[in-house]
Amino acid sequence: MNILGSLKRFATWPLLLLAAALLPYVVISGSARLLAATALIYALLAASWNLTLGIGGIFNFAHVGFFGVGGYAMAVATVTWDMNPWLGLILATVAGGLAGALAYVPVIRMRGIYIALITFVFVQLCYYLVLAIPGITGGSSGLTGVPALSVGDFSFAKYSGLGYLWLLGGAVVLLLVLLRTTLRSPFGKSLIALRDNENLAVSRGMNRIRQHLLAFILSGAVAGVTGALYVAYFRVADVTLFSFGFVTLGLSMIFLGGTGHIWGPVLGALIVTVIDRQLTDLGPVRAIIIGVGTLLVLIFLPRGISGLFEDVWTRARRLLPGNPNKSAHRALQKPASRTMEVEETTHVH
Amino acid sequence: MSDALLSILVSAVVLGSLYSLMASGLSLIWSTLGVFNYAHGALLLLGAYLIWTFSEKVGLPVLLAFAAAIPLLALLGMLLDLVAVRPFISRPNGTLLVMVSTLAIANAVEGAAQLIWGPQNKQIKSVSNSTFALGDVKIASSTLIALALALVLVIGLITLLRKTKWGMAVRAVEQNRDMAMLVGIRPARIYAGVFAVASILACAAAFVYGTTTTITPTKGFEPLLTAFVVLVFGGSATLWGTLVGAFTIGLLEAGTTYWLGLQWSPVAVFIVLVLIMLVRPQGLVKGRS
Repeated sequence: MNILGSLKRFATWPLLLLAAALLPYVVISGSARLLAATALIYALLAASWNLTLGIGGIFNFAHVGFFGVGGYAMAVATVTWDMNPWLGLILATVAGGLAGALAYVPVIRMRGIYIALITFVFVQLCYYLVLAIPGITGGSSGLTGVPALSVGDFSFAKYSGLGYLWLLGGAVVLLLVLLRTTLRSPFGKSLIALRDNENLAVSRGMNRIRQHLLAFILSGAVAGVTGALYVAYFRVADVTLFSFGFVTLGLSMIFLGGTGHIWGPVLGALIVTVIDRQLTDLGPVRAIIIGVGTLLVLIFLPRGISGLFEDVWTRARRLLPGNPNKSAHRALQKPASRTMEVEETTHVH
Repeated sequence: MSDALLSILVSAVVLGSLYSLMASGLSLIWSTLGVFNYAHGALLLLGAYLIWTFSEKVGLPVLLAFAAAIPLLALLGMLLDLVAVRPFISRPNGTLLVMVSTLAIANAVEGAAQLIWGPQNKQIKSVSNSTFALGDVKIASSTLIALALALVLVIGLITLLRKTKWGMAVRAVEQNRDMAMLVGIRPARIYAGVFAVASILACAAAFVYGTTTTITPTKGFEPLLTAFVVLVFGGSATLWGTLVGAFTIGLLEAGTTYWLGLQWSPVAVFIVLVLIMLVRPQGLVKGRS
């Protein structure tokens, strides 16, 4: 392995952590910090969604539901039941994981389009359930006054959310590490195998239901924490957490970033959040721009930005002298480019 | 028969008509192209707003406004096919991409409707305010019009698919696209036609919806999701199954609204859906035969 390669291998994560630690010193003004925190929350949401949608190849539309369930678990725990916010965070993780398991049950025997529809219905069910039990959830007015996270006397909301930026930045890095580890583990490889050739994978002894259930629980738990962090940051939970706008926004992030790499959705989330923020003053026009933009990305950028980067990178490597074999080898290993493909695990960084 | 039961039945008839119109359009697209059109609710919304505009702003009688909206909506449907379905249908994972693209379009339409028509409630005028008595209960003639519209159009669609050349071509593409092309059928044209027909059905649904309830830019999704439940409920749906499913779900919804309250009725409907899915996962819409 050359120097560049080993640098990449050993320095990426510390560098990312360093970037997360330095973030509040770069992003100083209150509105910029709000934007950065929002973007990081969306990054968590989109990246964890990609575990089932992109890596698992399961048409899972329920992810926003797991996010909302986590958010409501946090709000109900802290506001209705007056629990400690950190306990609420743990509760939200469990609730998100449970919601993931629950949403997977009706889709066990289904394929493709049916999974997409029934998981979409799951989000609707959450929406109507929240409205149906206003005694616990606050109904259509939602739950306000969620306490901010704090350690001792230091509230994370202080200094325009300094603590949140560190927490969220650290969480994104942690999630990326977790996803990479997962992808390289037998579990992650089995998910990819099941996606690419289910019959072969099953015939080699893989248990599709167990692996997919685990993927749902894992990504649901992460979405649950994300929802709790969202609620702890914005201090309010309401039914917009389960809205169609959220689903579209999340999907546009994933498809803009590309499902091919674990960092694709993170990048997509950062870009879409910034664009979305620029558009907030436009009111209804914002929905039009996001909708049409998503459509254009789907048509003209089928593998997303991460796919685009990868193409450029592959071409650049071919031009470099000295390692034609390597690129040829890689081209052989690479499956035909598809939108939902995650490349071989060595690509993932 | 008690008044309560009869009023439940009346609202079940209206809901059933609405859902059968929505669901038969969805079912047509689903069985022919194999995709789910999330923008179907947006088509309904556009139809309702067009009818409203023609009757309130242009001053046409309601039925004429409805007639004027039909060709426009058919065109919009074909446009939808062109931008949100055609580019993806032959890609790997095309069904997922179409779902995302139609969802994006639906969101964009919601924004556009808000921009053009504003967020206020709008209601389409009833065709006539006359009622007639059935025992002690008065039934509005609009209820009967809704029922007639649903029955005539859905049965018309069944006949269209069974008896006409176009219907045979649709079924041919549905069953074997490549063979259909060999005998000179152009799938792209069939798809555009299917979208046009489905949009016309959505326009009729919009007419029923807009005359019985107020419309706002966010109201397209609710009938869409219930129509999906109807598709599932209709089982291995022939369109007859869709009709039966639509009126059963309408009855369920009207009943739960009456006995449990408005907020519980969608929950009940969706729980029934999940239960059906658990028992019969294979038999959603198994194509027409």
